[in-house]
Amino acid sequence: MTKIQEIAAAVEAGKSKIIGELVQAALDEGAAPLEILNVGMIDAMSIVGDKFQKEEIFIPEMLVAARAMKKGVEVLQPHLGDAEAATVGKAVVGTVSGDLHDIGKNLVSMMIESAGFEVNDLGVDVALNQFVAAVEGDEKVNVVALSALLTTTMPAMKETVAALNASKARGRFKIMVGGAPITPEFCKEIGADAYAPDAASAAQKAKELAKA
Amino acid sequence: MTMTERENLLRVINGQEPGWVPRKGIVPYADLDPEQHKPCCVGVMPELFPPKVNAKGGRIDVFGVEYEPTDSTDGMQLPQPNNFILDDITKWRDVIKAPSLEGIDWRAIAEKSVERVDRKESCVQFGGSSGFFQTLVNFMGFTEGLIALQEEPEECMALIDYICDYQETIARNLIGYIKPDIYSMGDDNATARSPFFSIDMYREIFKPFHVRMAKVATELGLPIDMHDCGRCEDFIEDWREYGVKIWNPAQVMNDLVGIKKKYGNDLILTGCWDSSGPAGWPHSTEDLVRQAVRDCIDTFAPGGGFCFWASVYGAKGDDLAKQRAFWVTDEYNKYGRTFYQKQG
Repeated sequence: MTKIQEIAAAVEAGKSKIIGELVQAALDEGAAPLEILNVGMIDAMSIVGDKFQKEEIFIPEMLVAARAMKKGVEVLQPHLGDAEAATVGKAVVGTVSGDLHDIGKNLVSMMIESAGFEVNDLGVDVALNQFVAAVEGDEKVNVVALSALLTTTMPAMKETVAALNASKARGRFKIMVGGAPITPEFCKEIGADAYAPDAASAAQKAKELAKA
Repeated sequence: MTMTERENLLRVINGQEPGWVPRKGIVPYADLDPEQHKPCCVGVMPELFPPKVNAKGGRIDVFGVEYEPTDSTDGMQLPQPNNFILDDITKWRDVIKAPSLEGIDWRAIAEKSVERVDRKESCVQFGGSSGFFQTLVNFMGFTEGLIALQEEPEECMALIDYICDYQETIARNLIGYIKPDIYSMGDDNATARSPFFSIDMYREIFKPFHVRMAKVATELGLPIDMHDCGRCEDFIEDWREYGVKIWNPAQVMNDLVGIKKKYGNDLILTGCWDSSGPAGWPHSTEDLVRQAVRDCIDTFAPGGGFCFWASVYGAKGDDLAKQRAFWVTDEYNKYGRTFYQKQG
């Protein structure tokens, strides 16, 4: 097994305690930092996402895998050089105003980050002007992901999407929505660009949106 | 002599067809019932200690977790985001301290908790156990709690054992005085799409403690009502092993038609209502809401084994939500109260 394969296996198994040493060993052996990131980590997390969607693994396994990747990236980061080349974009993530639920948003945030995005996680109960400020104040943002768990906060999602659609920066970012009561129909109705039913799908969708 | 709401519900629990579809409340607007039927069941969960409230009006539980009410949930409370009391599961012994139960007058607390219940009209449902998974995530937040389950299962089990000791002591001291008709347990351990964790993890970490709490009821021959939201049907076989007879709310992301067919009246389904569906959306029409009530009853009430329960959530002061709740309640009265007579 190559060092990069070992890294991928460690990410998939969520081995946070050993990932740093493995990444350092791969660097010491001369492996390319971008290959470590793309093959050893991002591809590994893609496999984790597939297994989650098939219910071969569940949220705890996905969380520890994402955390392991984060630890590995900490070691890798100084070696990546041109950060622009290493990321596929920047995502702003948050749960809409009035909604305190965080687990869905956290999972999306972790999976999008694991797909190679830089993430600005605004947290829960995020006012629409915070979303607008986050996209207008950062030219790197190309995806915005909004979460709502409650039927009562669906109107807040609608208002947030309307505000983002009216933003002067609208041409350079796409809007993705998700959460228990959210449907593809609701996504279309409120003028968002994409719907994701779960965190793994959100990561895949974010990559597609970033390329669009 | 007319059957009471209590007797009607007991018929369902005993596997018989009831006189009418029993209704277990419509949160949070049950007071909109124009016919003012007595509740078929009254939930009892006695407070052992004076309630504590923080500056935002949120409650503080006996372990020190602070909750926050929001307008979007009409005052329902969630643990305060980013203010969790435990960040390292291995340190739980230093942080989590159950209050002393010495000197508690169990009889007085139990009797006070049921003093306003008309026991001829309503069953008493005693809340014996709140969820161990929920307790863990209330302490740590979802993300850290779920990671702890994966990385430190033995520490999680030690903490749950400690919480179980506390809950079991309370339940065993109160149940003899309360004399409930139904014993309730709960653990919201599923999302809308799947359980939070695998069935193997459930069996290893949580089930032994659910079994312990269930024995408090089954030793007395009481039926158990299990509260579990989301797509949690994977747990049904395990629940039934330890005495669960009623599931609430049985939500539509589960294969409810298949479950009713499989278990018949041996597993009573409460709900079967699409909590996130169009009937709950802000601008639902009256026809749509009323049709949703009839469809729910038509699908799940035949033969018994079903209690109507519909959630109608709205933000604080949301008149549209109150309107929807009235339509649901009124349609239940018109359709559900006469359903079995119409069936002949």
